[in-house]
Amino acid sequence: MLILGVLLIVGAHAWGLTAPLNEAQMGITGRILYVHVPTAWVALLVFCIAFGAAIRVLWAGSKRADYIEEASLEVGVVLTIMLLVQGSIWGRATWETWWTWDPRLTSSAVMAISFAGILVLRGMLHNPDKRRTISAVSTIIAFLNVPVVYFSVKLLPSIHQLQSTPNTVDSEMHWPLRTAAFGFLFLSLGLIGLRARVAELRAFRTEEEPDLPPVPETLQVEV
Amino acid sequence: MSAPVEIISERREVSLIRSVGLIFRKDILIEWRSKSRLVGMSCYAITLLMLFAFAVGPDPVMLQKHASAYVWMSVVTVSTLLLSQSFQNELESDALEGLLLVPVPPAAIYYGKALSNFVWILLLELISLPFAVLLFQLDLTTSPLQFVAVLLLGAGGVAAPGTLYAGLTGRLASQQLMLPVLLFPLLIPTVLSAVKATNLIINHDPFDQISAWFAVMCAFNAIYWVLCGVMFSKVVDE
Amino acid sequence: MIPLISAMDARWAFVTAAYGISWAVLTLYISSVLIRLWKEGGQ
Repeated sequence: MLILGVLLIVGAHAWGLTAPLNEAQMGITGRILYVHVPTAWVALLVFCIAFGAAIRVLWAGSKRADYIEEASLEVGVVLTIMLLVQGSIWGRATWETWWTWDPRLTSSAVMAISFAGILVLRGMLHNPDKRRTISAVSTIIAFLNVPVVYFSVKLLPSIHQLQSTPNTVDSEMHWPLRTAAFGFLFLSLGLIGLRARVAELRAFRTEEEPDLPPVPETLQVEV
Repeated sequence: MSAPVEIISERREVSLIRSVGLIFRKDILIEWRSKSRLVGMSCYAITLLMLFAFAVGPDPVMLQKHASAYVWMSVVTVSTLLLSQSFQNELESDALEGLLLVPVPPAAIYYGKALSNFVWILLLELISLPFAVLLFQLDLTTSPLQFVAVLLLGAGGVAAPGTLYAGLTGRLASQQLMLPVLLFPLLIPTVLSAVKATNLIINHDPFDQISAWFAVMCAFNAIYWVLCGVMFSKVVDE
Repeated sequence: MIPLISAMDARWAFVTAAYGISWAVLTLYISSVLIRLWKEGGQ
């Protein structure tokens, strides 16, 4: 899984490039865009991966999909928490407030709580089959949050900016943004891969190969 | 010598609607015969309302301003308790497997239970209503039809995901904890819209903003009733 | 000049904070995954 290492550098490189590059109309604080927007995109994508994995778990009974679901849920929650913190800092910089109850912020927070709740639930369920089913069902329903978050700025009046597309973003910022986005994407994919491996190893250890000590000679019963 | 036996097998499939009706009727009857739970939950809801009123204090302006929030919060809290009990009958007497063996699509079990939960939550709302009007000095006479719609959509938006998650968490030891943790994020759109809509009704809605909130409630009701029905078969598929 | 410089400093602080916290969280998370992987016996 050295992909992670390599692509992590790609991600870091993206900002190394972007930092000295230019300033947006917002002044220097516009630079937060390079970390905030990619985090947002990738977080939503990662939850889509979780959704796909959950569907596979339920309809194809795949155990591997369960590991990927757990991994992508965790990575997604971490990314969303980062997103909310970055956004809060950017908000303090531009709107003078750390938080406001507008649709996008609220729905992002609700999304974070929903998926975090599923992770908590996973921790409490010890029966593997039950855990798989319950978390897959919950993930599919919680996934409703994702389109709400994405479209909330378009459909409802919001203090947050519209989606960042080549139309809304200053043209000089396109390429740094894209590089940063891909960097984050590969970083997250690599993380999902690693974390899924952790889940797989843990499942192997607890479910298939309990490490019981060998039965000592004196205890063997002869019938 | 045994007489030849003719085996005539009849395949009678019970239609979805009829099976939903049967399960709905079963659940309502079981609950209606001993109304103890219903009475208990109503008391709980009324006590919550009183607590909210006392906590906020005697200022009538403050009370009226946030009345809809308190009403809906107490409905949601008590509904969660109600929902967590919805599968207890089956689970306690190991009847769930029996129910699943009946030639009825599993979705019917979900819709039957969800509809009966919907009725109970609606009843809860209606029982809390006079107390809320009294405690918070509300004026609901301006648009009664809209208010009924809010009550119906609110109950529906809580019953649908709630029944699914009640089934999901039913066998867990930590059900009382996990059901709210999982359910509340899903209820946020419904409850938010219900609170805002009720507020607008109480304040006579000067700018006709209520249609937007109705749209949200209708959308989430539609989504949840369909999606949760589909997912239920996976939940009991073991 | 002095007020101008402190205004600039303040905004750089925001950018640095945002990037810094993001990277700190990411690094912590990455290390937690790697540590868990190592404990479970992976490579």
